[in-house]
Order: sequence, then structure tokens, then C-alpha cells
Amino acid sequence: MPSRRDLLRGALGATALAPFGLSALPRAAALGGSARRIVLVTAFGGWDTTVVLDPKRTGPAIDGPDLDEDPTNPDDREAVTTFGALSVGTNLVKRPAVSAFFEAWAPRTLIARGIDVGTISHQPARGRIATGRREEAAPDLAALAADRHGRALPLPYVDLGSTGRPGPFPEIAVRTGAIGQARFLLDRRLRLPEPDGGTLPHHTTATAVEGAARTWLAARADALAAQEIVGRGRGRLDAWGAAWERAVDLTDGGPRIASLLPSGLQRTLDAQADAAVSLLDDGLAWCVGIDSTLDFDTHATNADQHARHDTLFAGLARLLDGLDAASLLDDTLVVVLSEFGRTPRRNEANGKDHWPVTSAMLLGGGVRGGRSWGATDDRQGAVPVDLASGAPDPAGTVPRFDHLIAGVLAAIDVDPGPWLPGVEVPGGLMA
Amino acid sequence: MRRTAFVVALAACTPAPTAPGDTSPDAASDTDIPPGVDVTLLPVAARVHRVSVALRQTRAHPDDIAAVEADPAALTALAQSWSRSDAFADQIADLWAEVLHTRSVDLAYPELGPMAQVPARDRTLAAGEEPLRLIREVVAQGRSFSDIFRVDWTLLDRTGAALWAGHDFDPDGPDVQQVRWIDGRPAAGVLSSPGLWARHPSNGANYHRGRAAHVADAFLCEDFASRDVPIDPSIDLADPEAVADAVRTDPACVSCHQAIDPLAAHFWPIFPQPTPAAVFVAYSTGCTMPFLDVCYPVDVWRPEFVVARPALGLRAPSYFGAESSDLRSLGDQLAADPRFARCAVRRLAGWITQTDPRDLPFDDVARWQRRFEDSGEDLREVAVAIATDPAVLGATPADASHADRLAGPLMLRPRALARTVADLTGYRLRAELKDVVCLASGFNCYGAFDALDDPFLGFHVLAGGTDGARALRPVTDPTPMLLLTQKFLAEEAAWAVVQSDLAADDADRRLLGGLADPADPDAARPVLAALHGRILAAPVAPDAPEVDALHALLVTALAANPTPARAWADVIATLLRSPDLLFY
Repeated sequence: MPSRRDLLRGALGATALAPFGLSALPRAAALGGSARRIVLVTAFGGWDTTVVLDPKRTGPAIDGPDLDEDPTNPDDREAVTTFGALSVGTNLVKRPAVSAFFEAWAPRTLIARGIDVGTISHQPARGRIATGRREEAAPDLAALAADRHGRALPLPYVDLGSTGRPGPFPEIAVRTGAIGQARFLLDRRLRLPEPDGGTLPHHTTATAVEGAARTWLAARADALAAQEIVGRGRGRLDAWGAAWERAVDLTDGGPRIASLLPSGLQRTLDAQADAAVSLLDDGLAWCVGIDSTLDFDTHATNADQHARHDTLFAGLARLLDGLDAASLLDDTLVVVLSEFGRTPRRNEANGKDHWPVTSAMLLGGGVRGGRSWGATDDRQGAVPVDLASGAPDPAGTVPRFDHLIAGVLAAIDVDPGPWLPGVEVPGGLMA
Repeated sequence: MRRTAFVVALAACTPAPTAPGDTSPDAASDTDIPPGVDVTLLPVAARVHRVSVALRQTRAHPDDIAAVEADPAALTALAQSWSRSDAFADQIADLWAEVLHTRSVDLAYPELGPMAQVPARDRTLAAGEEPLRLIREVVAQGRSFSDIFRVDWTLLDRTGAALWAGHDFDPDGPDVQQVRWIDGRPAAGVLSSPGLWARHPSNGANYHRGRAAHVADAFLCEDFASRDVPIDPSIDLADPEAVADAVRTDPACVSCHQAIDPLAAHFWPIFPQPTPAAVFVAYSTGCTMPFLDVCYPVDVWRPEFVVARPALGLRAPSYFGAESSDLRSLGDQLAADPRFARCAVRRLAGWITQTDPRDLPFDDVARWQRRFEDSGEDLREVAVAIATDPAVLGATPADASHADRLAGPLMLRPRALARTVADLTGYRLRAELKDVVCLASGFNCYGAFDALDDPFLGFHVLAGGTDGARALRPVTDPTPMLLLTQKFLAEEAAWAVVQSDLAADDADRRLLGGLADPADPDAARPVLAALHGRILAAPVAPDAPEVDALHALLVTALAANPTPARAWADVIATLLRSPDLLFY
């Protein structure tokens, strides 16, 4: 019986679109174990957790979002609103989307609080919070999930925001570009304007020739791989074959994929959310990386956190609505991360600077929501917890970034041991 | 009294050891074996190709290979000449773009004032290319590499000249000019660069510590930023005086701040936020804000800000305990620091060998560092030594356990792929996305760009390159999108070269010399053999099995295409898609 790849190879052009809808991808009922798709949403810049996720009000050691209230507007009031056992910061004037989100999705939402990232520098922190490791080259949790569960799909890991970290699995990660320019590679029918007024492409290999060309190229690769060449880069030769197989798949199914990608300079969170749902729903991708495109790095005006949060939660609601409508939510874990938090107190410019303690959100598939895990103290420091439950415990452990990632990986049936050796896997993050 | 938030507490600042290289020959040659590793070198042709691509981003020409086959010592002479090429200097700029992150969409300055008619691409690249041009020029001139901290000039293009204040750009001169700062800033090379500090602004109460950390990382390979930050719960973070005291006296803070704060103190005369966002705000307020007016031309040099540092109780400038005062003396200290030499060599070797600089074998680095020092810090000489080193040109080690001592095989980066294909076909893949990025006015379009070069709208990032903002780590392994990029480029380049060759006299053709009748496959074998040799760097005879395979492909293509020209384009495109072209 021909494999899926055989089918795809044999069917060129438009006729190859059908297999991509195959959806040989198992749906909810057929998914084994706790394997789950991942949508990784990055809200870079460092969010102020006191605003929504870990609500704090102004006190001796903390400047809360209540400082921004308009005294002349009685509706502009900060509140700590409880949804189930989950308390979040709300303001119906400044952040209506936050309230709307939790009213709809609090039961599917867990907030992990008091996560110690251990650095206040953007780049190292972005790596740590997404990978659980200090090495820049480490794979993020979506890459690990894609490697474990998504290799049979055409696009194991679609990186819509160019923020993904494929680590040692570049052959399964696909960047789509700042304006979705991958569409021009995937669908050669799209016209790419040239400076002289013409449009590309001027030439594509004839369909009847492409099969012979692929056979010739595969033979060249075999000959190359057979050479007795060693070195640190030897893996590159071996990786060509895997990348080639995926490139073939993408060539054949490209127009369909291209039609699902966001395009243009306005690559909004909403547009990325819609694309993520479509890519998952079509059985094309296992993991999707989304860049919120919101800059939470509010050194100068911390009041900007309100609008950032409002837009973020509106986008997250759109994402969860879409996943739910496509019956994907039970099998898809949405992980929302920011590299660190912001200082408890405001600075001279009424902004807040970097703070090495943050929160994270887990939404959707497998999450026992309506609750939080971990905590911070009245100085916004991470408090020790019983890692098995997340309950504060003076004799416990301060949860770190590597604990968070280990817990998520274990919950989606990816063994964290090889990637995070020696890191205790916390309990209670999901169920 | 305003509060000052607790910001930077960087830990553990013990400098790394400064051990020099132990023993090594001065210059690499075919007999120059890495200590403890006995290797069999690559075949001659592969060796010449690897050195050529490593140094000038294009494959060797058949004449070069023949010269080295006749005299192996000719490789060093060729490498020397390649290291003097523009392509090598361009690579230096590319390397430092990945280190400094200045080729970044974060530097997309707004289309206001004198920039209103400037294409977005020019506005985005003008700031970030300035420090890269400076570094490139220092290397291209064969100067001591530490002159990047000492030269009294930089290179501005016309857009950069309108963007920055304080220079002597001649409006009647060429588009790119060597300029001097005439606003009093010290002649400290890249440390005086407005583009560098625009990409690395100083935020909030950071007080330039981020800039200091970036300098230490980029030029000394001392990564303060990745070290853990301990928060001492006994410090009252609400009390600015307590915070200021902690960074001077608390052991957890002092271990780092005693090094980073004096380094940061050098940058107080640099405007904290010369960013596109700040320019936008300045224009929105009519360019009237005291101290914060950063309308064009942006005035980055602000010595008047220095008085605030002692008022905040922050440390005075010094260099890891040594006396220092301003950017010029900082540059002198950096230049004399042994960590700078080792770091520069590691970064160059990491680039050439496509290895994380931190993972390079120590004795290799030590050997090349000796070369750096012996050559008067001429980075071109070091590049030749690295590219011709057996650690790079070795095929197999005598001891299989030493396989990881060898760098290869290597893979073309996006720009090298574009150069290689252009060298073979004369074609560059250029685009202009007017419909996507033009405003309604018709001005402010992004501008034309090379799709393999452009980090923002092209295929550069998709093919493994970086963009200075989000994609900060290059991918030097094959990916599906790289191969699709290669396919796109191959098909367009093939069609372009077939069209031009068939319209040209035989002697002027690039690839199809000797092709009398494109529709006659029986006469094509010599041409197919020549294509095999030229594109795959593997010469074969017209009756070789490799030509049989290409001939079969041509026959299929002639039957499938409406014209012979299209058929030949299919064949050449297939050759250009080969992994042989990608690896070297």
C-alpha cells in the first residue's frame, strides 16, 4: 500500500491538494495518550503581571495598575475578579477584552505564577522561558512537541512570527516571513513583482519534468551522502534528505498552504490566530508559533500595558473560539509566554523595568482550568512551592523556567528527561 | 522624590581566563595538522571550492582548481587574493550584523521630515549598516582589527547623513562617504556609532548597563546578560537609595555591578533612546521637547547628560578595575584586552566553520589567535589561516573519534547561494512589493531588493538568515524553505541564463557554449558534460554515466516543453537545485 509520501510524490500540481486534506491526522477521539498540538504565543517585551495575570494593587512595595485610574471616570476602576478559583485583574474601561476572555475561557485557563526566569535580559530570557534551557541553540517546547508527535505532517512546526527556536530540528520548522512571503515559494502561481514592472516567476519546471528532476536530485543526494566525509557538519548532509522530502511535500501542497498564511505588513495577532486554526484544522501542522506583535517593554509608560493586554486577550479569545469551533481545542494546548515580568515599582518615567519573575498561561487541551499554580509575595518575588501541586510551601522550591517547560512537556507526552536532565517535573500544571 | 526602580543586577563577573595559544605553526598549509589530529585532506577540487566559498562566497573556477592541482602551494596564494575581495569584506559585515543585530527592522525610522520621500528599505538599513560599514572598511583596508575602536571616521550613506547629526557628510559627494564626527564625540570607531546605540538603546533606569553588556558580549565574548540574577529579598526595592546602596555593597549585586556599572558609565554622553519610536514622538510634539528632541537629524551625542550620573550615585567610568574615562579610552582598553583578540578570532572562526564560537576546539582557536597577533590583527590573514587549516579542509581523521575536530561539510548561507548562482548565471533574484508596502500616497514604498539578501521582505530569513530583531540565530542546516528558495532561484536563474546565452555569440555564453541546436539532444552531450563540471564542480566526460542521466532529463524536458529553451532551463534549474551546489 503506498505511503502518504508516495501518494504526494506521485500527484503533482493541483491534484496533490486532495491528500493534504486527508486528514489522516487523527482527530480528538483518535489521539493517543496525552499528545497534543501546540500553539505557542509569545508576548515579548516582558508583561506586567500585576495588571492581569497576577493581580496586585498598589501597596508599600508595589505599584499596581490602579495608579492609572481616571478619577473622573467612575467606570475606570481596577478590580480583582474571580472566575472559579482564578483571580485576575480586570478593568471594564481599559481592558474589556480581558474580562470577556475570562468569562468565556476561565474554565480552560491555568495561570502559572511566580516563575523565576533568572535573568532580566531579553534574549536570554526569551530562550529560557520557551526552551527551559540556558543554551541559545536549545529547541523550544513547540519544536520538541513537533519532533515527538508531528513528523508525519507536512508542517510539523509553522513559525508565523519568526520567533521559534527549532534547535536541532530545523528540517521540521518552517518560517513564513514578516509579510508571509513564504506564500511566493509555496504557490508559484502567485506573482511576485519585479522592480522593472514585470512579475515572477518567469519559469517553473514543467510538471512532466519535475518527477524526473526529483529522481535525479535524489540520486545526487545519495551519491553525496555516500562519500566518506566526516566532521561537525556531517549532519547537514544527512539532514538534506529530510528537508528535501518536506520540500517536495510543500511544493505539491503549496497552494493550499499558501492560501492559509497571513500576508501583508499587518500580520496581526488575529490574522495569525486564524491561520493557526486553519493550519491545524487542515491537518497540515502540529505546532504553530505566533508572535503577538505587541511590545510589552514599557519602560517609559507602563499605562501602555492596558492596551497591550486588551489586544492580547482579544486575540487569544479569537484563537480559542476558532479552535473550539473546529473541534480542536481538546487536543490543542495553547501556551502563552512572556520572557519576564516588570519591576514592582514604577521608575522615573512612569514605566517599569525588567523583573526576573513572570507568569505563563496554559489554555485549552488537557488543562484543568479555572485556577492558578504557584504564587508571588507582596514584593512580587517568586515564592517556594510544593512542585507536586504548585501550592505555596516555605520548605518547597522556587519554580523556575525549566520546571515550567518540563511540566508542559511531560503533560503532552514528550519526555523532558533528555532535554532537561535533572529537572524535577512539577505536577498539577495541567490536570 | 521620584522612585528609581531596581533594574540590573547581573551576577558573577569574574573575567574568563586569558590563556594564549600554546604551540602552533605560524601559517597553515597542507602539512599543518591540528595538534593531536591526523587527517586525510579533501580532494584538491573540493579543497579549493571550500576555501573559495569560505572566503568569497562563490565556487572556485576551473582555472583555480587546475592551478592548485599543478602546485598545491598555489592554494594559499589564491586564498590570499580571495581574502582581499569585496565579497570577503561583505562577509565581515554579514558576520557582525549577526553579532550586533543592527540589520534590524527595529531601526525602521519613520517617514517624517527629510525622510518623507525615502523608501522604507533605505530608512531601515541606513542606521544599521553604518557600524557594519565601518567594521567592513577596517578589515578591507588591512588595518589592525582593533582599529574598529580607534578610527576617527565612519561611513554614512545619503539617508544616514540625513538621519544623524554631527558629521561632515558632503551633500555634493558620493552616496556613501567616509565622514568624521564634528560634534566633539571621541574618535572611538564603532563605539561612537549612532547606529549601534540606536539598535541598543538604554531603557528606563538601566543607565546604559544593557549597552555595556552588549559591548562585553560582542567584543569580549563575556556574556553578562545570560548570567543569573539573584534577587535579595532583604532589599527594599521601593527605596531607590536602598537599591543604589545594594549595587555597591550587597555581595550578590556587587559581584557584577562593580564591573558592569563602570563600563556602562562610558555611555552616558550617548542619547539613551535614539530610536524610531522616539523620533516619531518628537515629531508628534513639534520637535520642541527639551532634552528629548530627536527630530531629524538625530543628535546622539549629548555630553550634557553626563552630569546626571554622579547625581544618581552611580560609579565613574573604569574598565574592569583599570583607569578609563571616555569612549576613546574604553576603545583603547578593549583593543588591549586579550579577550578581544580571542573573541574576534572565535567569531570569525565560528562564521567560517559554521560552528557556535563557544564550541570551537580550544587549540584551534589558540592557533588562529596566534595568527591574529602575528599578522598585526589583520582579519584577512586570520581568515586565510582558518579557511586553509586542516581542521577545515580535512576529509577524515586517522582516528575516527576525532571526527568532531573537523568542521565540514559546510552549507551556503542565503547570500552565498545568491552569489554562487549569480556567478554561474549572472542572475540576481530581485523584487519590489509595491502592492504590499506602499502607502496610498505612492511614496514611502519599501524599494527594490534582492530576495536572498533582504532580511525583512525577501527570502533571506526563510532560507536560514537572521533579521536582527526576531530571528537572531542563523540556521546552517538544510530546511524545507531553504530548498524551496533554492528551487525558486534556480528556475529563474536558469531561464535568465538560457535566454541570454541563446541570444549571444557562442564565445560570450556563460553556460551553453557549444550548443549549436538546442532542439537536438543527440548533439547535447558535450554541453551537458560541461554543465555538470561547471555547476556541480565535478568534471565528467561526455560519455560518462552522469551525462547519461542528464541526457535522459533533457529528452524528457524537450518532450514536455513548448520550446527547446524551456527544456534547457529545466535541465539547468535541476542542476542548480542540486545538493552539490548547496554544500561545500
